[in-house]
Amino acid sequence: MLRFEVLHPHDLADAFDMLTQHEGEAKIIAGGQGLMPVLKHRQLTPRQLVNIRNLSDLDYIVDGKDGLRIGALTTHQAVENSAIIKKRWPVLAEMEARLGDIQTRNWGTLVGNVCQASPTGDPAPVLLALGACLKVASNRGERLIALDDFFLDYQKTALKGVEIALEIQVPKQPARSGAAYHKESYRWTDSPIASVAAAVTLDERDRVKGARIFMQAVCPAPIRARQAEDLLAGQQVNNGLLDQVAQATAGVACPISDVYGTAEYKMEMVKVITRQVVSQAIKQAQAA
Amino acid sequence: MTQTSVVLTELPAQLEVVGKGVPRVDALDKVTGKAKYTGDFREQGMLFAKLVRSPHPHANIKNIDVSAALAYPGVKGIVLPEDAPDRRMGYFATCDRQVLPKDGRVRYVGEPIAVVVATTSEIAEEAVALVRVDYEALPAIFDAEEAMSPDCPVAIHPMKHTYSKGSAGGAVQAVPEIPNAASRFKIRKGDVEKGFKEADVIVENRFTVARVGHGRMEKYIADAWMEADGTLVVRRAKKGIWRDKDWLCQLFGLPASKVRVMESYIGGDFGGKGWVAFEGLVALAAMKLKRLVRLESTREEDFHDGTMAPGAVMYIKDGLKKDGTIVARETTMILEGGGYTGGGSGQSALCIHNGILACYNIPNWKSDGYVAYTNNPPTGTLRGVDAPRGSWAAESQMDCDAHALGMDPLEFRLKNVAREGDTCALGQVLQHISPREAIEKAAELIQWGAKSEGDGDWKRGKGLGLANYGVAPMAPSDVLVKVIRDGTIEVRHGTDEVGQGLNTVVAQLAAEEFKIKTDRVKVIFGDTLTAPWDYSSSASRCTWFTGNATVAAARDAKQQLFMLAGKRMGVAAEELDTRDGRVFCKTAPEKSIPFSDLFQYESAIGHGEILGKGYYRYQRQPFDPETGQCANYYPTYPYLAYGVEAAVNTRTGEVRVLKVSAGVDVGQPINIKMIEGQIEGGIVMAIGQSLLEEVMLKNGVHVNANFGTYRMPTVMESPYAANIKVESVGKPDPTGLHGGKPLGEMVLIPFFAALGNAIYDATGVRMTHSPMTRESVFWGLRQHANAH
Ligand SMILES: Cc1cc2nc3c(=O)[nH]c(=O)nc-3n(C[C@H](O)[C@H](O)[C@H](O)COP(=O)(O)OP(=O)(O)OC[C@H]3O[C@@H](n4cnc5c(N)ncnc54)[C@H](O)[C@@H]3O)c2cc1C
Repeated sequence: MLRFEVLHPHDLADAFDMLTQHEGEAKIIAGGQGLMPVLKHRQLTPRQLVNIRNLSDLDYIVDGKDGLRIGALTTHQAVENSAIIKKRWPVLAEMEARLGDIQTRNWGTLVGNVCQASPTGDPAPVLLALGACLKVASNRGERLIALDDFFLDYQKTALKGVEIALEIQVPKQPARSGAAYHKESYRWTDSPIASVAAAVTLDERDRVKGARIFMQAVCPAPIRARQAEDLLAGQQVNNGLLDQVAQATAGVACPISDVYGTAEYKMEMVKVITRQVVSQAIKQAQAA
Repeated sequence: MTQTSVVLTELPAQLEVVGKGVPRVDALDKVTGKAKYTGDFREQGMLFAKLVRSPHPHANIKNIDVSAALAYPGVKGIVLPEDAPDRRMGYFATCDRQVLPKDGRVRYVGEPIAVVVATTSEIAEEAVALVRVDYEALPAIFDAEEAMSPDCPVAIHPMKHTYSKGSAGGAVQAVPEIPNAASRFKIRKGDVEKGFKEADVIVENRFTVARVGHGRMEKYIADAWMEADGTLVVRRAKKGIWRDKDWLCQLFGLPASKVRVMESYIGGDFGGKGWVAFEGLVALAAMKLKRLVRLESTREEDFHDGTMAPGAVMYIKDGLKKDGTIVARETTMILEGGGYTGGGSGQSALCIHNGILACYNIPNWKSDGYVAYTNNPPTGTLRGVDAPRGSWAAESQMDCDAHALGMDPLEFRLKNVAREGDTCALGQVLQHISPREAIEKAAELIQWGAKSEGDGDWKRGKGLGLANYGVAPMAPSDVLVKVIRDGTIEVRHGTDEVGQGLNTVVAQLAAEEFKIKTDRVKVIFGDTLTAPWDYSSSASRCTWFTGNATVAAARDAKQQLFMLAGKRMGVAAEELDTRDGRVFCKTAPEKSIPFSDLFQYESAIGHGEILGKGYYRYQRQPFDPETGQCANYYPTYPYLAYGVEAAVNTRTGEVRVLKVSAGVDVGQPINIKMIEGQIEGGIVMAIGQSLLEEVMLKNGVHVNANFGTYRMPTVMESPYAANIKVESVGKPDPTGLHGGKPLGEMVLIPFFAALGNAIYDATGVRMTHSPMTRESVFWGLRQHANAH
């Protein structure tokens, strides 16, 4: 049996101390929706769990002039149902609505999901496409990590063991921007067979000024489709270009065959989804 | 033919409780959480068992060293193969299973080798890891067709010629000439060669289907203990208290009076809660340690021990006349049985035909069904006992036939559909059947012929499927009905409430007899000390068997009641009837007496209550083993036709079931609400098994033994309830209980092909493997596009 001690810090400073004291042996637990299965399968065998769920100061959604900030204890459910997110960041609300089941969304946190860095996590590609950052802190102070630099490899992140992620920051998007995310999955709320997020900004003549495209579930960590983005740059999008963009996106995917499908099928799904989300993002930008 | 059945004495219109949508008698208990399941029982000082399991698909056990495990604090004892009886058990066909591998060989990954008992299940689990087993690995085989090849180098049961047959083993045969064949069933009707010669068109196909699981909520759990007088008591989440009692007596050589078996409500069965292996293990532990021992599966273990439905390979060849008549059919069906088939799949050599053998009038029929041993986990019974598999092949083939002739699939089916007096593939004359009405109704409700429009990437199509199902003519049912002085009617039966609603049916039947409301009926079940003999809730037999016995017992009790009342009232018993807890005179209804007075009056001379007894049995003739012909194998033939409208995403291969129609021939329905409930539930289960679910094994190891990746449908994958239309079209079967016929398993059978046919209608892609996963549909669409 796995034996561990659960520690309940009463404030952040307390939590920092615990993590420093048990460096290398302690894991943070927030909603437990990512960690519990990992413990069950003995992929990790921590000696201490630092339960941060009581640090309710970290439960917030703020949409300010610089952009959106979501606290570490904000649950998937809160993001999914937030009126402000539905209105200003619909891509996030839509992504959350198809993440796991209601129980998982009630317990699990968005930040916990990002820290878990599962290769099938839904939030990561969306947040990456939107250019988000993660604010993290420890005894030694705070730092801001661009998600671009956060996901290093299979379930490996730039987060240090003594650090706590405090909030996700999503920068305010330029005018005429749109973003879309789609996963293909067996059941409605299953983990993705493949998923793609795209964020685009158009100029006044509907030419693509900027685009960010990220894939999930087809690589050890979320991966960016730079070539595809380059193809879009400065262009007015048509069907032919969409095909090229889809092809280029799939070109950087490196899926494996597993219970979600063969690698070949996942590649095909990347193409289908890429077409869909890029055109959806463009439509949204045009309407913005 | 001996048949003691309740003849239709009332016109359906006169029935007051039967035929109505009465709410379930256990609904309140269940929704309020008051209903007790086996896991709710806790006893002080109970011990917990965990199993040492084989990591090898095929190996000889050289040595088992338990010293470290026995020394582990908290461990109370370990049961080894040497403690186990030297006896092979089987449920139906083939007795190939041992409780523990007494023969020193394991045949699948996960096979139990020893039982570790400790004060907590965590300690037991830790100690399991300390048991050292030395193995000599043997070559293993996982593919059914390879295993069936006469020169397969691996022989999984080299001593199989010495195994005996199970209780109902008469139907299937041993196959000594094929090393890895567990059982065979042959059908020889007419002359297929002649039939094929007469045919204008021959259609041949190969269909395959994956292994699937039951997906029930409640896992295996069993407690066992010894009473002071040496009685072995087993309380478990499983069906068939009397069958288990028999098995345990046989297994351990115990007299009938020294085994007691108990059960509570069962949290889902779907055919997987029949086999006794688990009880054998926990009973062994209780007998060795003289303590109350509990054995409970994890979800993963439930996949190992779950007697899942085998995968199958099915070859089917039809000979057709240009006018649309089928003149001959030949099939070879091979089921992948895993390491052992005693959990029920041995019988599947027959049962795989069970959804197809009475649908159409096919004069010449030749069929060979086989169950093959492999080194995958064992298989067993699952709702329909592989009839859904045979139906997947045969009803897909029906559409292929129709298209080969340029005929509409409905028209083709109607041309061949079985009529009153036709003989089925087993040679039995079909009576009181309405398959034509069923298929016509399903077609009408799905608006067959009206082309459904697609929408963007989504193409739409419709498909049909028809099935029959034989209620299995198994061991008899006994029921006791008591009249209690406050007017309550108590029914005691020995089968199971596995969630199907049997207790409600039984209550309705008793209520009808006494003309009272169902809430005046109390149903008692689940203990061999208090409930009378019955077989088990299997093979859609309960309404027919237990139901018939209930009515017989109620009538016996009523007779006694009328004798008593007659004496008191000075009226002949034949003049009396009962309603609302009173006995009254039929010719002068104002002359009546409440039950309570009757008992007061009579108690002086010794009547405290009245006990009525009833039984039902069905005697069938033996099969001819060379031809599979039997004049009366099944007591009745119900039918179900589905119409399915589905949408296929041409970019992704995703399939959505939009609408389902059902034309059902269950004679006179006993409870129309429960029929709708069974059909709706069956459709959701069938959607899972035909689109999503698949037990994945790699070298005999489960890849997806969890509900995250063994994907059962959620509400999001199911059609809106309003899009499921059910109509009952049967005419009462006068040999049936109140004219009714069974339904429980049939609800799964014709769905698979109906959906495959809808996909074909939408896209022109013929799916030949089930589940029709989105990926397989995607590649099917690709291939189709490249070919056209
Ligand atoms: C049944 C089920 C279905 C699921 N389906 C999906 C799905 O479809 N899509 C999807 O994307 N995800 C899915 N998940 C995963 C789940 O959404 C996330 O992994 C989970 O929400 C993570 O959040 P949490 O609060 O539960 O984190 P925890 O499980 O508590 O922690 C996860 C990891 O992050 C670390 N961590 C948590 N918070 C912090 C912090 N503030 N700072 C630093 N480290 C931290 C923990 O140490 C741990 O390593 C599913 C999970 C389950 C159980």
